Amino acid sequence: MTRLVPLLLLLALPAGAAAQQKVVRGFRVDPSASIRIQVPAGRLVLRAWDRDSVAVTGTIAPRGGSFYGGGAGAAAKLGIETDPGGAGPGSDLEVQVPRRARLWIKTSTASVEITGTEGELDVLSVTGAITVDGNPRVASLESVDGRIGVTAVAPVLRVRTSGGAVVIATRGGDLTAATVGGSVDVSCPALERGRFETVSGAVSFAGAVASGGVLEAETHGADIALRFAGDLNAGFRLSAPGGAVVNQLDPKAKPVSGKALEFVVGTPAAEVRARTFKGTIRLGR
Amino acid sequence: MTCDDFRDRLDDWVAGRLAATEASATEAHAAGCPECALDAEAARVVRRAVAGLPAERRPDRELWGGIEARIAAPVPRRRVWAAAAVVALAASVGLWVAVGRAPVPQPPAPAMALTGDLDLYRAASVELRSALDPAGLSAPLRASLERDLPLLDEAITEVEARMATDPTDPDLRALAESAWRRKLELLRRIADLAAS
Repeated sequence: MTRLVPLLLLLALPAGAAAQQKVVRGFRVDPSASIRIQVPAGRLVLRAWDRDSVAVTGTIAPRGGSFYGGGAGAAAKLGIETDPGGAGPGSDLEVQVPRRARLWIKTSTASVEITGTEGELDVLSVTGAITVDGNPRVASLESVDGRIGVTAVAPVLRVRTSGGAVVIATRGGDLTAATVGGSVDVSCPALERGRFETVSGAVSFAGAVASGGVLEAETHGADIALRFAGDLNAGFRLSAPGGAVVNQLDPKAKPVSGKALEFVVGTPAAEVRARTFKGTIRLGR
Repeated sequence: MTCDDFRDRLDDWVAGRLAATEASATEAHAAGCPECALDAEAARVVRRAVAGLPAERRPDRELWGGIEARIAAPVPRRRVWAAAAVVALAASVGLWVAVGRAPVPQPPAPAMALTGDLDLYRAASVELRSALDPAGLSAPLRASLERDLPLLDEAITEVEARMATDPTDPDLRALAESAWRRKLELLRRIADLAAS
């Protein structure tokens, strides 16, 4: 009997201590509320909707921490609280937010997918991938090693990562993307302003620069590939002190004094500047 | 609002001292101007770092002396603010650190003396790097530091060596500034994540 007592006590423990937890929570907020979300590990999906409320559903892995959330009016916050010093085994959360909400999101290893939002985004991750598909007005996306992918209309976009790759597809906008070892791939048919830089990753751009727009691409040791579609009216300045330039737009252009190569295609309505220390700059259609 | 107007209001905006209408206009400008948004971010980082310092500690007069003199040199206003913010951040982070850390190898100073912003970047980089203890970082942050910092240091060394033979090339200078800026951003990002 005495041996059975510990066993009976163990069976009597709350099932949630070692079981998956379900999350179902909701609260009302303003249409442009500021919402802070912290989910250390697992998967976080945010979808925009046209309601003045936040709805959270999902699951938390056993010993994955506990959910917290609440707010009203102009501010709300939610997330997973784990033991100090660890991200925990993770959670799988789907959060529906007002379309114009201002979102501040922080993760460690959790991936983040954001769909349909039109407000401001500020996302910081250590290794989690960040994917945005919507029309955010302003977006700041930062990861140490996670891949960052953005499909949007014409945002003011700032993307920073160290080892992760960056892939951007927009219709226009003011775009800045910087990595150290990752690559930067951008497609945009009417870029207003773009600055894309890496150290050892490659930069590629496909599309066009709007009249009055500026495109800057810079690497240290990797290649830069710029392909232009449609009518092209731009002044170019290309510099590759220890590298090379392959110029299919104006093969006859020659550098001035052995330094930067400058030439114009059509009229200089836009500016294109590319700079690499020892990579190759390739221009084409 | 022009960028100059924004910079005039930046300190008060970050400190929450602007009236609501003016704060909204300032915020709207930052939302539409990436350069000013960067200035605002630098201001917030400095403010957070300084706010966290113990009340009894003050900036080291010896640390600030040479830096103040360099900042006082006539340079474009935006660069003064950006450089001061970078150095203030580095100094404030440095003041948190226990003394006695072994110096960390830095890219060797070029034979030709670099002036202006590159010197400030170098000084800020030393402070920020000293503040990071790899043993105290999580595995992903430590991996990024060990992988990405050498890439940046190598880039800086190569460009600055070339600048020594061609000091007037604006593209070489731009490449050097970019590499230094990226290095500071990497150190700042890792320090922020390690502290949070």
